[in-house]
Amino acid sequence: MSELGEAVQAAIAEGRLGPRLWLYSNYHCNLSCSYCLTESSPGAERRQLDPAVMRQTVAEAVELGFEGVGITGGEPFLRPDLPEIAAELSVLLPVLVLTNATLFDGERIERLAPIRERDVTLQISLDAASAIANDPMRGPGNFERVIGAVPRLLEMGIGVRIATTLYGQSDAELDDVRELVAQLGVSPDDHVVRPTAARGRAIEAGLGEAAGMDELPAEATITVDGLFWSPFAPTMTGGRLDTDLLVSRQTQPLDAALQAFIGLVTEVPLAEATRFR
Amino acid sequence: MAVLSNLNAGAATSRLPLVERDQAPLTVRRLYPADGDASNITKALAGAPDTLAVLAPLLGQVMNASTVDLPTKEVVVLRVSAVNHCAYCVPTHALVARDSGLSADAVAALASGDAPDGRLDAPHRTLARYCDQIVADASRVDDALLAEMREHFADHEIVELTVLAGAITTLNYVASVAGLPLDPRAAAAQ
Repeated sequence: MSELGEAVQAAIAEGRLGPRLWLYSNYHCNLSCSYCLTESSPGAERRQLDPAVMRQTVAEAVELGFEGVGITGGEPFLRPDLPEIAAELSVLLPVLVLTNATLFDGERIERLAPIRERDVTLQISLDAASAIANDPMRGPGNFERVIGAVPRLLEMGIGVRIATTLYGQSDAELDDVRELVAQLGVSPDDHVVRPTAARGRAIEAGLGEAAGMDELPAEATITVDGLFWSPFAPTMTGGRLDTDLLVSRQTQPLDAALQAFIGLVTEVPLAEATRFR
Repeated sequence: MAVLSNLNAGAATSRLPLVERDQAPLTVRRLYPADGDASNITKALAGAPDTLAVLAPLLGQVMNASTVDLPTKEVVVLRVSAVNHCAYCVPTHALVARDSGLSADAVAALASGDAPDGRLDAPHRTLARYCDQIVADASRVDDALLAEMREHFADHEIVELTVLAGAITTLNYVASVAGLPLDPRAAAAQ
Protein backbone atom coordinates (compact mmCIF):
# COMPACT_ATOMS: atom_id res chain seq x y z
CA MET A 1 0.00 0.00 0.00
CA SER A 2 1.40 3.39 -1.00
CA GLU A 3 1.76 6.26 1.48
CA LEU A 4 -1.09 8.04 -0.32
CA GLY A 5 -3.22 4.91 -0.14
CA GLU A 6 -2.64 4.74 3.60
CA ALA A 7 -3.65 8.39 3.93
CA VAL A 8 -6.80 7.78 1.88
CA GLN A 9 -7.78 4.77 3.96
CA ALA A 10 -7.11 6.60 7.22
CA ALA A 11 -9.21 9.55 6.04
CA ILE A 12 -12.06 7.21 5.08
CA ALA A 13 -11.81 5.38 8.42
CA GLU A 14 -11.89 8.70 10.32
CA GLY A 15 -14.89 9.93 8.34
CA ARG A 16 -12.91 12.79 6.80
CA LEU A 17 -13.25 11.42 3.28
CA GLY A 18 -16.24 9.76 1.67
CA PRO A 19 -15.54 6.13 0.77
CA ARG A 20 -16.97 6.55 -2.72
CA LEU A 21 -15.17 8.08 -5.70
CA TRP A 22 -17.57 10.00 -7.96
CA LEU A 23 -17.46 10.24 -11.73
CA TYR A 24 -19.44 12.81 -13.71
CA SER A 25 -20.19 10.73 -16.78
CA ASN A 26 -21.79 13.63 -18.70
CA TYR A 27 -23.59 16.94 -18.18
CA HIS A 28 -26.55 16.71 -20.54
CA CYS A 29 -29.97 15.53 -19.39
CA ASN A 30 -33.42 14.86 -20.81
CA LEU A 31 -34.88 16.96 -17.96
CA SER A 32 -34.29 20.59 -16.91
CA CYS A 33 -35.02 20.52 -13.16
CA SER A 34 -35.49 23.86 -11.38
CA TYR A 35 -32.84 23.11 -8.75
CA CYS A 36 -30.29 21.47 -11.02
CA LEU A 37 -26.72 22.11 -9.83
CA THR A 38 -25.21 21.67 -13.25
CA GLU A 39 -27.73 23.57 -15.40
CA SER A 40 -28.26 20.28 -17.18
CA SER A 41 -30.80 20.07 -19.98
CA PRO A 42 -31.19 18.39 -23.38
CA GLY A 43 -29.18 21.21 -24.96
CA ALA A 44 -26.39 21.32 -22.34
CA GLU A 45 -22.88 20.61 -23.54
CA ARG A 46 -22.22 16.90 -22.98
CA ARG A 47 -18.76 17.08 -21.35
CA GLN A 48 -18.53 13.28 -21.32
CA LEU A 49 -15.88 11.39 -19.42
CA ASP A 50 -14.02 9.05 -21.69
CA PRO A 51 -14.73 5.37 -20.84
CA ALA A 52 -11.00 4.65 -20.81
CA VAL A 53 -10.51 7.42 -18.25
CA MET A 54 -13.34 6.00 -16.14
CA ARG A 55 -11.81 2.52 -16.20
CA GLN A 56 -8.31 3.76 -15.43
CA THR A 57 -9.54 6.05 -12.64
CA VAL A 58 -11.51 3.30 -10.93
CA ALA A 59 -8.60 0.87 -11.23
CA GLU A 60 -6.44 3.44 -9.45
CA ALA A 61 -9.19 4.10 -6.90
CA VAL A 62 -9.17 0.42 -5.94
CA GLU A 63 -5.41 0.55 -5.33
CA LEU A 64 -5.83 3.65 -3.17
CA GLY A 65 -8.48 2.07 -0.97
CA PHE A 66 -11.73 3.63 -2.16
CA GLU A 67 -14.70 1.42 -1.41
CA GLY A 68 -17.21 2.36 -4.09
CA VAL A 69 -17.89 4.33 -7.24
CA GLY A 70 -20.67 6.83 -7.86
CA ILE A 71 -21.68 7.84 -11.36
CA THR A 72 -23.67 11.02 -11.81
CA GLY A 73 -24.33 13.84 -14.25
CA GLY A 74 -26.42 15.02 -16.14
CA GLU A 75 -28.43 11.91 -16.78
CA PRO A 76 -25.89 9.11 -17.09
CA PHE A 77 -28.26 6.82 -19.01
CA LEU A 78 -28.37 9.24 -21.93
CA ARG A 79 -25.07 7.60 -22.75
CA PRO A 80 -25.71 4.40 -24.70
CA ASP A 81 -22.51 2.87 -23.27
CA LEU A 82 -23.39 3.53 -19.62
CA PRO A 83 -24.85 0.10 -18.72
CA GLU A 84 -21.77 -1.68 -20.07
CA ILE A 85 -19.42 0.74 -18.33
CA ALA A 86 -21.26 0.40 -15.00
CA ALA A 87 -21.18 -3.40 -15.30
CA GLU A 88 -17.50 -3.33 -16.07
CA LEU A 89 -16.65 -0.99 -13.18
CA SER A 90 -18.72 -3.08 -10.77
CA VAL A 91 -16.19 -5.88 -11.10
CA LEU A 92 -13.74 -3.56 -9.38
CA LEU A 93 -15.96 -1.73 -6.88
CA PRO A 94 -19.68 -1.46 -6.02
CA VAL A 95 -21.29 1.10 -8.32
CA LEU A 96 -24.06 3.58 -7.56
CA VAL A 97 -25.59 5.40 -10.54
CA LEU A 98 -27.70 8.51 -9.96
CA THR A 99 -30.53 8.59 -12.47
CA ASN A 100 -33.91 10.19 -13.05
CA ALA A 101 -35.22 6.78 -14.19
CA THR A 102 -37.29 8.34 -16.96
CA LEU A 103 -35.56 6.48 -19.76
CA PHE A 104 -36.63 2.98 -18.70
CA ASP A 105 -40.23 2.75 -19.90
CA GLY A 106 -41.44 -0.07 -22.11
CA GLU A 107 -38.78 -2.10 -23.84
CA ARG A 108 -36.13 0.49 -23.14
CA ILE A 109 -35.56 -1.09 -19.74
CA GLU A 110 -33.91 -4.01 -21.56
CA ARG A 111 -30.94 -1.72 -22.11
CA LEU A 112 -30.11 -2.34 -18.48
CA ALA A 113 -29.52 -6.08 -19.02
CA PRO A 114 -25.72 -5.71 -18.55
CA ILE A 115 -26.16 -4.55 -14.93
CA ARG A 116 -28.60 -7.27 -13.89
CA GLU A 117 -27.33 -9.22 -10.90
CA ARG A 118 -24.25 -6.98 -10.81
CA ASP A 119 -23.16 -4.81 -7.89
CA VAL A 120 -24.80 -1.79 -9.50
CA THR A 121 -27.44 0.20 -7.63
CA LEU A 122 -29.55 2.94 -9.17
CA GLN A 123 -30.33 5.98 -7.03
CA ILE A 124 -33.52 7.48 -8.37
CA SER A 125 -34.76 10.98 -7.71
CA LEU A 126 -38.29 11.29 -6.33
CA ASP A 127 -39.31 14.43 -4.46
CA ALA A 128 -43.01 14.01 -3.72
CA ALA A 129 -45.74 11.38 -3.55
CA SER A 130 -47.87 12.70 -6.40
CA ALA A 131 -47.40 13.94 -9.93
CA ILE A 132 -48.97 17.27 -9.00
CA ALA A 133 -46.36 17.85 -6.29
CA ASN A 134 -43.38 16.17 -7.91
CA ASP A 135 -43.51 17.24 -11.52
CA PRO A 136 -43.40 21.06 -11.35
CA MET A 137 -39.77 20.85 -10.21
CA ARG A 138 -38.73 17.86 -12.30
CA GLY A 139 -40.86 18.07 -15.43
CA PRO A 140 -44.13 16.66 -16.78
CA GLY A 141 -44.55 12.88 -16.71
CA ASN A 142 -41.62 12.42 -14.36
CA PHE A 143 -43.59 10.96 -11.47
CA GLU A 144 -45.43 8.33 -13.52
CA ARG A 145 -42.23 7.15 -15.20
CA VAL A 146 -40.41 6.76 -11.87
CA ILE A 147 -43.30 4.91 -10.24
CA GLY A 148 -43.46 2.64 -13.26
CA ALA A 149 -39.74 1.96 -13.36
CA VAL A 150 -38.93 1.11 -9.74
CA PRO A 151 -40.87 -2.18 -9.42
CA ARG A 152 -39.64 -3.34 -12.82
CA LEU A 153 -36.02 -2.60 -11.86
CA LEU A 154 -36.42 -4.55 -8.63
CA GLU A 155 -37.97 -7.45 -10.56
CA MET A 156 -34.93 -7.45 -12.82
CA GLY A 157 -32.64 -7.83 -9.81
CA ILE A 158 -31.32 -4.28 -10.03
CA GLY A 159 -30.80 -2.51 -6.70
CA VAL A 160 -32.74 0.72 -6.16
CA ARG A 161 -32.29 3.62 -3.77
CA ILE A 162 -34.57 6.66 -3.74
CA ALA A 163 -33.27 10.20 -3.26
CA THR A 164 -35.54 13.03 -2.19
CA THR A 165 -34.29 16.58 -2.53
CA LEU A 166 -35.70 19.02 0.00
CA TYR A 167 -37.00 22.33 -1.31
CA GLY A 168 -39.75 23.16 1.18
CA GLN A 169 -41.97 20.06 1.30
CA SER A 170 -44.03 19.82 4.50
CA ASP A 171 -43.51 17.03 7.04
CA ALA A 172 -46.77 15.49 5.89
CA GLU A 173 -45.61 15.52 2.28
CA LEU A 174 -42.34 13.86 3.29
CA ASP A 175 -44.26 11.22 5.25
CA ASP A 176 -46.21 10.52 2.07
CA VAL A 177 -42.97 10.09 0.14
CA ARG A 178 -41.69 7.64 2.78
CA GLU A 179 -44.90 5.66 2.55
CA LEU A 180 -44.69 5.59 -1.23
CA VAL A 181 -41.06 4.45 -1.08
CA ALA A 182 -42.10 1.56 1.16
CA GLN A 183 -44.97 0.67 -1.18
CA LEU A 184 -42.51 0.56 -4.06
CA GLY A 185 -40.54 -2.09 -2.19
CA VAL A 186 -37.56 0.07 -1.25
CA SER A 187 -36.25 -0.13 2.31
CA PRO A 188 -36.17 3.07 4.43
CA ASP A 189 -32.40 2.54 4.66
CA ASP A 190 -32.25 3.03 0.92
CA HIS A 191 -34.13 6.33 1.01
CA VAL A 192 -31.83 9.37 1.00
CA VAL A 193 -33.27 12.77 1.93
CA ARG A 194 -30.99 15.74 1.37
CA PRO A 195 -31.28 19.51 1.03
CA THR A 196 -31.01 21.40 -2.21
CA ALA A 197 -27.55 22.89 -2.51
CA ALA A 198 -27.59 26.61 -3.26
CA ARG A 199 -25.45 26.26 -6.35
CA GLY A 200 -26.11 26.25 -10.07
CA ARG A 201 -29.68 26.78 -11.19
CA ALA A 202 -30.94 26.57 -7.59
CA ILE A 203 -29.47 30.02 -6.90
CA GLU A 204 -31.52 31.59 -9.69
CA ALA A 205 -34.59 29.80 -8.34
CA GLY A 206 -33.84 31.14 -4.85
CA LEU A 207 -33.58 27.61 -3.49
CA GLY A 208 -31.23 25.73 -1.28
CA GLU A 209 -28.78 25.86 1.58
CA ALA A 210 -25.20 27.14 1.54
CA ALA A 211 -22.96 24.40 0.21
CA GLY A 212 -19.27 25.27 0.42
CA MET A 213 -16.23 23.43 1.69
CA ASP A 214 -17.44 23.67 5.29
CA GLU A 215 -20.86 22.22 4.56
CA LEU A 216 -20.02 19.55 2.02
CA PRO A 217 -18.31 16.36 3.16
CA ALA A 218 -15.15 15.61 1.19
CA GLU A 219 -15.99 13.17 -1.61
CA ALA A 220 -13.47 13.03 -4.44
CA THR A 221 -15.28 13.78 -7.68
CA ILE A 222 -13.84 13.50 -11.17
CA THR A 223 -15.27 15.37 -14.13
CA VAL A 224 -13.96 16.17 -17.56
CA ASP A 225 -12.82 19.48 -16.01
CA GLY A 226 -10.83 18.11 -13.07
CA LEU A 227 -11.00 16.79 -9.51
CA PHE A 228 -13.57 18.49 -7.26
CA TRP A 229 -14.29 18.52 -3.54
CA SER A 230 -17.73 16.90 -3.75
CA PRO A 231 -20.35 15.73 -6.23
CA PHE A 232 -22.16 18.97 -5.30
CA ALA A 233 -19.11 20.98 -6.40
CA PRO A 234 -18.64 20.92 -10.21
CA THR A 235 -21.64 23.14 -10.76
CA MET A 236 -22.52 25.45 -13.61
CA THR A 237 -23.75 29.01 -13.08
CA GLY A 238 -24.79 31.15 -16.01
CA GLY A 239 -23.18 28.72 -18.42
CA ARG A 240 -19.81 28.92 -16.67
CA LEU A 241 -18.13 26.18 -14.63
CA ASP A 242 -17.75 27.04 -10.93
CA THR A 243 -14.16 26.53 -9.80
CA ASP A 244 -14.51 27.50 -6.13
CA LEU A 245 -14.49 23.82 -5.11
CA LEU A 246 -12.02 22.68 -7.75
CA VAL A 247 -9.02 20.85 -6.35
CA SER A 248 -7.02 20.02 -9.48
CA ARG A 249 -7.38 20.43 -13.24
CA GLN A 250 -5.33 17.30 -13.63
CA THR A 251 -6.95 13.92 -12.93
CA GLN A 252 -4.61 11.51 -14.67
CA PRO A 253 -2.95 9.83 -12.92
CA LEU A 254 -5.38 9.96 -10.03
CA ASP A 255 -2.69 9.85 -7.35
CA ALA A 256 -1.15 13.20 -8.32
CA ALA A 257 -4.50 14.97 -8.07
CA LEU A 258 -5.52 13.09 -4.96
CA GLN A 259 -2.36 14.10 -3.15
CA ALA A 260 -3.60 17.71 -3.20
CA PHE A 261 -7.10 16.54 -2.19
CA ILE A 262 -5.82 14.62 0.83
CA GLY A 263 -3.83 17.68 1.88
CA LEU A 264 -7.08 19.63 2.02
CA VAL A 265 -8.94 16.84 3.79
CA THR A 266 -6.46 16.87 6.64
CA GLU A 267 -6.68 20.68 6.87
CA VAL A 268 -10.41 20.84 7.50
CA PRO A 269 -12.30 19.63 10.56
CA LEU A 270 -14.55 16.63 10.30
CA ALA A 271 -17.54 17.60 8.22
CA GLU A 272 -20.27 18.22 10.76
CA ALA A 273 -22.92 18.34 8.09
CA THR A 274 -23.65 15.09 6.44
CA ARG A 275 -26.97 16.43 5.27
CA PHE A 276 -25.65 16.58 1.72
CA ARG A 277 -25.63 12.97 0.62
CA MET B 1 8.73 54.47 -20.30
CA ALA B 2 9.64 53.54 -23.85
CA VAL B 3 10.93 50.19 -22.72
CA LEU B 4 7.40 49.14 -21.79
CA SER B 5 5.82 49.74 -25.18
CA ASN B 6 5.00 46.08 -25.65
CA LEU B 7 2.08 44.92 -27.73
CA ASN B 8 -0.34 43.97 -24.99
CA ALA B 9 0.36 46.71 -22.48
CA GLY B 10 -2.21 48.99 -21.03
CA ALA B 11 -5.32 46.94 -21.65
CA ALA B 12 -8.28 47.78 -19.45
CA THR B 13 -9.09 44.11 -19.12
CA SER B 14 -6.97 41.00 -19.08
CA ARG B 15 -6.87 38.80 -22.18
CA LEU B 16 -6.65 35.73 -19.94
CA PRO B 17 -9.35 35.09 -17.31
CA LEU B 18 -8.80 36.56 -13.86
CA VAL B 19 -10.12 34.23 -11.18
CA GLU B 20 -11.82 36.25 -8.47
CA ARG B 21 -11.93 35.14 -4.84
CA ASP B 22 -15.42 33.60 -5.11
CA GLN B 23 -14.18 31.21 -7.80
CA ALA B 24 -10.69 30.55 -6.40
CA PRO B 25 -9.92 26.81 -6.44
CA LEU B 26 -9.38 25.21 -3.04
CA THR B 27 -5.63 24.64 -3.35
CA VAL B 28 -4.94 28.32 -4.06
CA ARG B 29 -7.63 30.01 -1.99
CA ARG B 30 -5.10 30.78 0.76
CA LEU B 31 -3.26 33.04 -1.70
CA TYR B 32 -6.23 35.42 -1.69
CA PRO B 33 -5.77 37.70 1.33
CA ALA B 34 -8.70 37.82 3.72
CA ASP B 35 -8.36 41.57 4.23
CA GLY B 36 -7.78 42.74 0.67
CA ASP B 37 -7.78 41.85 -2.97
CA ALA B 38 -5.33 39.45 -4.59
CA SER B 39 -3.04 40.80 -7.29
CA ASN B 40 -4.01 40.40 -10.92
CA ILE B 41 -1.01 38.14 -11.52
CA THR B 42 -2.29 35.82 -8.77
CA LYS B 43 -5.75 35.88 -10.32
CA ALA B 44 -4.35 35.04 -13.76
CA LEU B 45 -2.23 32.18 -12.43
CA ALA B 46 -5.19 30.79 -10.48
CA GLY B 47 -6.63 29.73 -13.82
CA ALA B 48 -4.00 26.96 -13.62
CA PRO B 49 -4.35 26.12 -9.92
CA ASP B 50 -2.10 23.05 -10.00
CA THR B 51 0.69 25.18 -11.39
CA LEU B 52 0.09 28.08 -9.03
CA ALA B 53 -0.07 25.76 -6.01
CA VAL B 54 3.56 24.73 -6.56
CA LEU B 55 4.77 28.01 -8.05
CA ALA B 56 3.66 30.10 -5.06
CA PRO B 57 6.03 28.49 -2.51
CA LEU B 58 8.88 28.79 -5.00
CA LEU B 59 8.16 32.47 -5.54
CA GLY B 60 7.91 32.98 -1.79
CA GLN B 61 11.35 31.52 -1.25
CA VAL B 62 13.18 33.24 -4.08
CA MET B 63 11.47 36.64 -3.79
CA ASN B 64 11.73 37.09 -0.03
CA ALA B 65 14.86 37.99 1.93
CA SER B 66 17.15 35.04 2.56
CA THR B 67 20.91 35.35 2.98
CA VAL B 68 20.32 37.85 0.18
CA ASP B 69 18.57 40.99 1.40
CA LEU B 70 15.29 42.25 0.03
CA PRO B 71 16.62 45.28 -1.88
CA THR B 72 19.00 42.99 -3.76
CA LYS B 73 16.13 40.63 -4.61
CA GLU B 74 14.15 43.59 -5.91
CA VAL B 75 17.06 44.59 -8.14
CA VAL B 76 16.60 41.27 -9.92
CA VAL B 77 12.80 41.48 -10.01
CA LEU B 78 12.73 44.99 -11.39
CA ARG B 79 15.61 44.65 -13.83
CA VAL B 80 14.46 41.34 -15.31
CA SER B 81 10.93 42.72 -15.66
CA ALA B 82 12.29 45.81 -17.42
CA VAL B 83 14.39 43.79 -19.85
CA ASN B 84 11.36 41.59 -20.52
CA HIS B 85 9.25 44.72 -21.16
CA CYS B 86 6.66 43.70 -18.58
CA ALA B 87 4.23 46.62 -18.40
CA TYR B 88 2.50 45.12 -15.35
CA CYS B 89 5.54 44.01 -13.34
CA VAL B 90 7.72 47.11 -13.70
CA PRO B 91 5.32 49.68 -12.20
CA THR B 92 4.26 47.14 -9.59
CA HIS B 93 7.79 46.36 -8.46
CA ALA B 94 9.01 49.93 -8.77
CA LEU B 95 6.84 50.49 -5.69
CA VAL B 96 7.93 47.31 -3.94
CA ALA B 97 11.56 48.15 -4.65
CA ARG B 98 11.12 51.58 -3.06
CA ASP B 99 9.42 49.91 -0.07
CA SER B 100 12.41 47.58 0.26
CA GLY B 101 14.75 50.54 0.66
CA LEU B 102 16.16 51.11 -2.84
CA SER B 103 16.54 54.79 -3.70
CA ALA B 104 14.31 56.52 -6.25
CA ASP B 105 17.36 56.95 -8.48
CA ALA B 106 18.24 53.28 -8.27
CA VAL B 107 14.67 52.28 -9.10
CA ALA B 108 14.62 54.64 -12.08
CA ALA B 109 17.92 53.25 -13.33
CA LEU B 110 16.74 49.65 -13.05
CA ALA B 111 13.34 50.31 -14.62
CA SER B 112 14.76 52.30 -17.52
CA GLY B 113 16.64 49.40 -19.03
CA ASP B 114 19.61 51.75 -19.58
CA ALA B 115 23.13 50.50 -18.92
CA PRO B 116 23.63 50.29 -15.14
CA ASP B 117 25.38 53.41 -13.88
CA GLY B 118 26.41 55.25 -10.74
CA ARG B 119 22.83 55.46 -9.52
CA LEU B 120 23.35 51.84 -8.38
CA ASP B 121 25.92 50.74 -5.85
CA ALA B 122 28.63 48.33 -6.99
CA PRO B 123 26.92 45.01 -6.09
CA HIS B 124 23.61 46.10 -7.59
CA ARG B 125 25.30 47.45 -10.70
CA THR B 126 26.99 44.12 -11.29
CA LEU B 127 23.77 42.27 -10.55
CA ALA B 128 21.81 44.41 -13.02
CA ARG B 129 24.36 43.67 -15.74
CA TYR B 130 24.16 40.00 -14.85
CA CYS B 131 20.36 40.12 -15.20
CA ASP B 132 20.64 41.84 -18.56
CA GLN B 133 22.92 39.09 -19.78
CA ILE B 134 21.03 36.05 -18.52
CA VAL B 135 17.72 37.31 -19.90
CA ALA B 136 19.38 38.03 -23.25
CA ASP B 137 21.46 34.83 -23.37
CA ALA B 138 22.57 33.03 -20.21
CA SER B 139 25.05 30.94 -22.19
CA ARG B 140 27.06 34.12 -22.75
CA VAL B 141 27.71 34.99 -19.10
CA ASP B 142 31.49 35.01 -19.38
CA ASP B 143 34.07 34.20 -16.71
CA ALA B 144 34.72 37.87 -16.09
CA LEU B 145 31.07 38.64 -15.29
CA LEU B 146 30.78 35.57 -13.10
CA ALA B 147 33.97 36.54 -11.27
CA GLU B 148 32.55 40.01 -10.72
CA MET B 149 29.36 38.46 -9.33
CA ARG B 150 31.50 36.37 -6.95
CA GLU B 151 33.06 39.53 -5.54
CA HIS B 152 29.64 40.39 -4.15
CA PHE B 153 27.71 37.15 -3.78
CA ALA B 154 28.37 33.59 -2.56
CA ASP B 155 27.91 30.82 -5.10
CA HIS B 156 24.68 29.64 -3.49
CA GLU B 157 23.38 33.19 -3.68
CA ILE B 158 24.21 33.36 -7.38
CA VAL B 159 22.21 30.19 -7.89
CA GLU B 160 19.28 31.64 -5.94
CA LEU B 161 19.37 34.98 -7.76
CA THR B 162 19.51 33.18 -11.10
CA VAL B 163 16.47 31.07 -10.22
CA LEU B 164 14.73 34.28 -9.13
CA ALA B 165 15.44 35.79 -12.54
CA GLY B 166 13.89 32.74 -14.21
CA ALA B 167 10.86 32.78 -11.93
CA ILE B 168 10.30 36.47 -12.60
CA THR B 169 10.62 35.86 -16.33
CA THR B 170 7.82 33.29 -15.97
CA LEU B 171 5.61 35.92 -14.35
CA ASN B 172 6.61 38.48 -16.99
CA TYR B 173 5.47 36.08 -19.71
CA VAL B 174 2.06 35.50 -18.14
CA ALA B 175 1.52 39.18 -17.32
CA SER B 176 2.54 40.29 -20.80
CA VAL B 177 0.55 37.71 -22.71
CA ALA B 178 -2.50 38.51 -20.58
CA GLY B 179 -1.88 42.24 -20.85
CA LEU B 180 -2.67 42.46 -17.15
CA PRO B 181 -4.21 45.71 -15.92
CA LEU B 182 -2.27 47.29 -13.06
CA ASP B 183 -3.41 46.66 -9.51
CA PRO B 184 -4.90 49.73 -7.78
CA ARG B 185 -1.76 50.85 -5.93
CA ALA B 186 0.44 50.78 -9.03
CA ALA B 187 -2.28 52.36 -11.14
CA ALA B 188 -2.62 55.21 -8.65
CA ALA B 189 1.13 55.81 -8.75
CA GLN B 190 1.15 56.19 -12.54
